[in-house]
Amino acid sequence: SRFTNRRIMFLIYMTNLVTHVMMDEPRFAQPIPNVTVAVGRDANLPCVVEHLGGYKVAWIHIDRQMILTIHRHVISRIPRYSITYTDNTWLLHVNQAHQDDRGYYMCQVNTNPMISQVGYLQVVVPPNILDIESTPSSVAVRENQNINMTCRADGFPAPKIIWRREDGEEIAVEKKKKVLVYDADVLPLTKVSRNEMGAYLCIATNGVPPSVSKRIILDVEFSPMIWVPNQLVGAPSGTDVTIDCHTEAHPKAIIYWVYNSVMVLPSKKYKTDYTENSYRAHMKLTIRNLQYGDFGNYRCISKNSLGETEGSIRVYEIPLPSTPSKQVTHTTVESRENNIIPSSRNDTTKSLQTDVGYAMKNDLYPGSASSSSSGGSSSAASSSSSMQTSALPGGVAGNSLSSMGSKGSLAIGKSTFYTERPPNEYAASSVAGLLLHRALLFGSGIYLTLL
Amino acid sequence: ASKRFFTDFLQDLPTPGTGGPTFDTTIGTNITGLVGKTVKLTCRVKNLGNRTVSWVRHRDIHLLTVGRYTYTSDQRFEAMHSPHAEDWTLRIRYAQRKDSGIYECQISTTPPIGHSVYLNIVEPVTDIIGGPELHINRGSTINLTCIVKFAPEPPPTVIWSHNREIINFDSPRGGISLVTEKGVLTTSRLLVQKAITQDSGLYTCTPSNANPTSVRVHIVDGEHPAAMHTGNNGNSTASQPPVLLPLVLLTCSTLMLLQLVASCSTLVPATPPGCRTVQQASTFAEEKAMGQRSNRNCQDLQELEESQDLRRRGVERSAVPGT
Repeated sequence: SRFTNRRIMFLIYMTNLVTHVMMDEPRFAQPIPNVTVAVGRDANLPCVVEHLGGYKVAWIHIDRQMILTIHRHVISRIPRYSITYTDNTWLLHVNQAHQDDRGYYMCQVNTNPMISQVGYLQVVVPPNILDIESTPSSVAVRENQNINMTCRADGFPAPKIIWRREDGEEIAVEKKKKVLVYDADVLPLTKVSRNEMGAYLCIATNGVPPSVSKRIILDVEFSPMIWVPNQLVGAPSGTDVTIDCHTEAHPKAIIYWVYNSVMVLPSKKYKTDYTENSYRAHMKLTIRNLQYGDFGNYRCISKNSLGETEGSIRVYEIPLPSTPSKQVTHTTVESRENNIIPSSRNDTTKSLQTDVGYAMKNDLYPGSASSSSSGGSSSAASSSSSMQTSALPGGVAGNSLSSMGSKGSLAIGKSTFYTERPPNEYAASSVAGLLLHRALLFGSGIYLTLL
Repeated sequence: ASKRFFTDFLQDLPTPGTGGPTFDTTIGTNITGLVGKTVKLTCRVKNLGNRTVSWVRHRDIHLLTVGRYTYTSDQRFEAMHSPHAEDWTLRIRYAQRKDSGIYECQISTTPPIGHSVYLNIVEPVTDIIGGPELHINRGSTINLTCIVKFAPEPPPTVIWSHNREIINFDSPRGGISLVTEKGVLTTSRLLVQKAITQDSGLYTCTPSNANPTSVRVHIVDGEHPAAMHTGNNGNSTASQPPVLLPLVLLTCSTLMLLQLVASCSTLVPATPPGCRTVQQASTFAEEKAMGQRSNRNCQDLQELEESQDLRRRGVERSAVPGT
């Protein structure tokens, strides 16, 4: 029986050999290419088999261990799979690819032993920012605090996330190093300043279009601050004057003017202007047709949820230019005092010395006013006020001139009745002397003209 | 409960209220078979509906059968299924050691559900201690121990034979006894008292479920070592005759080959594509059995096509009421 088995096996072997020689065995003409497809799109996997003969081609998804097709029949119940056959090519169609479709696909021919080859289908997913795991679109932080802005995204391959500011400014990260683009999921901002307020863009890319971005607005909150460029403003009666303050605040503050403890409202007398730029504001108050009751201390106030601050501006009166009627008065005085010309020289010298002393007294008065206003404003305003005072010698001169003018009038009246006076009277006479000096010159001019 | 909900939600059910396909897990998942024997792997599926049951070999992801259609060309594999029955059986004939591994019965749902069966093909080993040659002094006791290993179950019987004749414990010889212990390791001991020259020869141990093995016993006298040389010469002489047989077989095969070539050259040009070519090859290899099997494969494939058509009609029918 052993010999009989040997004979049978030999016959079978020879028969198979002849069969294989006379009809070529199936073989794969090309490898299956690796195909990349975006999720939702269609993909095709080709399997090229030559000399297929009566054998059958089958497609199997190895990762799912799922039989897809045999010959022309779709075994899988996923309708997205289909098979077509043309010119030795068995084309597996995957419509509207899912991520689950990713993996190795085997094309198999039922020879004995079985031959097969494998190809990979890569299903990629465009990036998608996860709002739930990311920083909200608007976030607020107190100035000088730290904040981490987070941006998470999914997709395949895993997306890369970068940060940049919408206005193209640089971002301060990692101990205040400045970068235009920051590459990380989390953007760490330390000791945030108001300059960093604005819109930030988180951009997710993974090579699969389209890239996506998320806009996050960063609000930096701080108490109001005020700067007063001119703390002393002088103007003649009957004219218009404009005073202004600069303020910074976030959240947005309410800003208004107060005079004599009463809030200034727009009216025929007052006009208010506000110019805003981001967290900055420029507030102006125009006072029309200045009158005696309008001179005094005006306060600009800025108030928001985190605090309030104010600045103070003092408005004072300066004299108007001379009128023709006063000139006539000066002529009358001149004619009366022409007789005492020699003594006027001595008077002039004395009046000059006295004038210097009076100016010193006048300088003290503005200083006290400054200290009074600084009491109501912030330290910055106070510092500014002090500098303002020392930097305005012209103002001091203005004050002196104004005072002299006023008292000069009274002096003229008294001189018609008395010729010799104590030290106070010396001051008065010195003022009169100065005026006589000017009148004399004026009279000489007229006299010469008449000649 | 959640799994059932998951299943119900995903599947398109052919009959409302009917659950999806499920496996009968009472059938064992570990099957042991013998080399050279036929092994059957059975998968019992309930509520199959219009889905397809396939058998896949995990080792090389080789698709074996789909429904009743046998895809693999390895003729040892065959799909077995009776209409209206729940059993889908994969039959493997002439099982080999390499057939061991994981086989998965898969239902074409989305995602596919599978039931894995581990197949272990074992080859029992029969061994006689002291073999293949034993020299026993005349008058001593012949002690032969036969061990059967790697059997799926203990052999029901172990038969000893002497010179191709089954040992008869009622023979006039007398003094013969047998002790057999069955277990994972089956041991059978043959004892022959007061050995004589006639006791020499070939002793064969034949378990009922394993290959037999033999040992040659020589009865020797301490004073006559020349007998051993005589035995060796006898062996060399016995091997002479088989040399001629291969030559004869080769000649006969060549002659038959010539006839086959003539026949094939006549038939090949007229061979149509598809199953018939396979059928032709089958005819050459084996006459009737393979031919019939090939025909059955073709019919099964046609049935598969018909089932596909039925599936489409089912879809159309379901579409009409919706419209």
